[in-house]
Amino acid sequence: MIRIDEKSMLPIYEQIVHRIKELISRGVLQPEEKMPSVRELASRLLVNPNTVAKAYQELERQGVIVSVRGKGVFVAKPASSPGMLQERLSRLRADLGRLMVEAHHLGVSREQVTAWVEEEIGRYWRDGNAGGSSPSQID
Amino acid sequence: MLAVRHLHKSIERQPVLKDVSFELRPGMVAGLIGRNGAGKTTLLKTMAGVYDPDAGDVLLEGESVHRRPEIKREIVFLPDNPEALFGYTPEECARLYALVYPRFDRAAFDEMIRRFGLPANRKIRQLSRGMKMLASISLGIATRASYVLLDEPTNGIDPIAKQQVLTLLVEAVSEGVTLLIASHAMGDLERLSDMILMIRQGEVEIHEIADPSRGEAVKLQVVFDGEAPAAWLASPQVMVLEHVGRVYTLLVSREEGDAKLEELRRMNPLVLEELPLALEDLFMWKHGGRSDEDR
Amino acid sequence: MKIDRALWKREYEQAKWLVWITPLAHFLALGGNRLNDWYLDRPDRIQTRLNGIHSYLDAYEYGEMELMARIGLMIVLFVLALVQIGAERRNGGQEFLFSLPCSRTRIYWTKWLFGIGLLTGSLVLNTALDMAIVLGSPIAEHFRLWYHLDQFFFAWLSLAAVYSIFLFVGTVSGSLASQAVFALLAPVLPFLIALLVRIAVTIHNDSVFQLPEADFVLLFPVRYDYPEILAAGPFPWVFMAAVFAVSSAGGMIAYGRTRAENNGKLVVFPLWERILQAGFVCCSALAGGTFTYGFFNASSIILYYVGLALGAAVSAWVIRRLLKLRLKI
Repeated sequence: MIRIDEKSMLPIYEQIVHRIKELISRGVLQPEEKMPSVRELASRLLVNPNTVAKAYQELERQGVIVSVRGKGVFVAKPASSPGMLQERLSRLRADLGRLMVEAHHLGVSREQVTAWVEEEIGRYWRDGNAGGSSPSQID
Repeated sequence: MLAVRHLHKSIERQPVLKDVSFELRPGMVAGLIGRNGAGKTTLLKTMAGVYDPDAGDVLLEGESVHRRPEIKREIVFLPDNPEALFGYTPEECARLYALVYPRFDRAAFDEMIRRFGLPANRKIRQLSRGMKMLASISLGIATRASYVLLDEPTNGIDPIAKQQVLTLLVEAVSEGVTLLIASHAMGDLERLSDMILMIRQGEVEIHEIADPSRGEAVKLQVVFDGEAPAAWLASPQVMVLEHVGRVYTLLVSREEGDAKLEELRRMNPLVLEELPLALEDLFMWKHGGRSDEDR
Repeated sequence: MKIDRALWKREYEQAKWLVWITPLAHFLALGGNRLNDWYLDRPDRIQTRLNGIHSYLDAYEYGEMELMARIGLMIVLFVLALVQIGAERRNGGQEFLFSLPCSRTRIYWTKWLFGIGLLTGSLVLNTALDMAIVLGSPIAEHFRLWYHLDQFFFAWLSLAAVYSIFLFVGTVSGSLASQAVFALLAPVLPFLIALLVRIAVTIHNDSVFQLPEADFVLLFPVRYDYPEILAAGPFPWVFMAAVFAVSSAGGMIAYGRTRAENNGKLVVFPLWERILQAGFVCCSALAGGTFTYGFFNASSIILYYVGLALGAAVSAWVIRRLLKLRLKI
């Protein structure tokens, strides 16, 4: 399920990118599964189709999804390595750094931060496998 | 492309539009915002040829809609209340529109009114406000005109009808229709629009939605360490949106650089947090939060 | 063009009750009336009436029925003009029409043709019916084809002229109410002005100054009965034709330039506001002078000027307020 958070600092298209990656990580969206079309997703979220199209372009650029002409958009196969791996990894590392600065600035304890990280790890690296138990669908 | 060029319009000797220029590219959604009486409706009606401009013009692919009204087959104006259609049923409206707009898509119209449960054979006058708007917008979109101008499409209708209206609009954009939507529903416009036109004192400012920070101002939540700095708060670059206890919600302008932000940082406030700048905040910022405004 | 069909359809939709009422009312005033006199009445009364007839003019009752029919048609056309222009300024109809992909001239042309068509249709139908009724009646020997044709053309031209004035007035005035008032005033205005000027000149000269007042009244359809039509010569025909042409063209031009943003005001054009203002003050001043001069029976020229000044001052104030109004109807 994708929801737009109007209180978020992220622009809408980045929220869509992020939520779709999350749904894939949790296994809600399976590899090679058909994605909703730009038109469908825009109608469901009531956002500008151009914004959804931009999010899909970004996801495709990163190799998260692939579009097949005349057939639609599909979740990429796991074998194909994520696009722009280096760039995305270094951005991820920087994001984590920023989060830690913010946590420290807010006076969050080391134990608390560790607990949070463990919680998130438990969500995605359960028994070392990717896969989610959430029943929610993209909607 | 629908281009508004140096449009001037006075009503009863009061200038309402002063040298308004902008362009609507095919397939884009533009939101038109402004205070009540700021001239939103006047602008839409002048673009639709209901009003004649005092100077300037409205050009569709380079041709004036005022000099060659036939080209308005590609422009539909949907007023805030479809009064003119009150005496007709949706069915009769469809037949009328089919005579006016050569590409009128009867099948699509039937599909839309079926989806929204609009009674095809009851007079528009007898429908609820939300249904009136849905009927009007369905007609407008079924014309397959390239440009649809909407005046307050979601004003005064219930949340379900509003969702349905927005769905119709999003679907139209997916088909490549260009929308210009005058509205006070900032949240909806923010999600729908590619571009925001803010009309203020007869002038139109253009804001591209694509730039999320909008660059012009930041919204901050601040708790000062000790006494609040009255002089800093009173400076023209700072606007207090809200003040509850010791927590201030502020807008700080960046139009003249980040000096004011630097000053704030040097004060070492207990809390200094950036909040997302919503369209509504920008609107408040531009209007200085004042409640009085002429048109 | 398809869009013309749409425009016609709209005009018909909003005035269809008039389309049915018009020929019916026309028939009741003319053919129905004649039917009553010569077919349905008691035989002894029909015989008495027949005995009193010495000429075809007696048989046709000097055109009285046609006069009644013209008055009826004029009222219908007055209402039609209000529906077509004044009411549309109020109910969103005009803004809808102006947003359509066609010129305003074309919209006006449709409205005008609709009214003229209704008039023509009702006249053709009812003239034919009336002729048939006369030919089958005891007065058949007095049947005159040119009587019917005279009546037909006179009614057509005078009513078309008056209808065009009603529409033209509608294109200039900003609301239903002001269109109604101006439309009723316009046909008698020249006569009123002439009358006031004549009184002013008479007072100053101590002699009677005569203007050909009658010819300035544009309510031709009401004014003339048949012998008068015959006696009046070509002037009324030429004058009506001129009024018809000028007000049709004037309405077309004014509708094309309508300032829809001024809907609700007395008058939508700033220039016409000035004309109305000046005209209203002048007429009120003259009327004020005439009133005080006559009322006090003093026949003093000073009293005339007191009334003149008072009339001007009061009317200037009144019209200033009126011009700022935005009427809801």
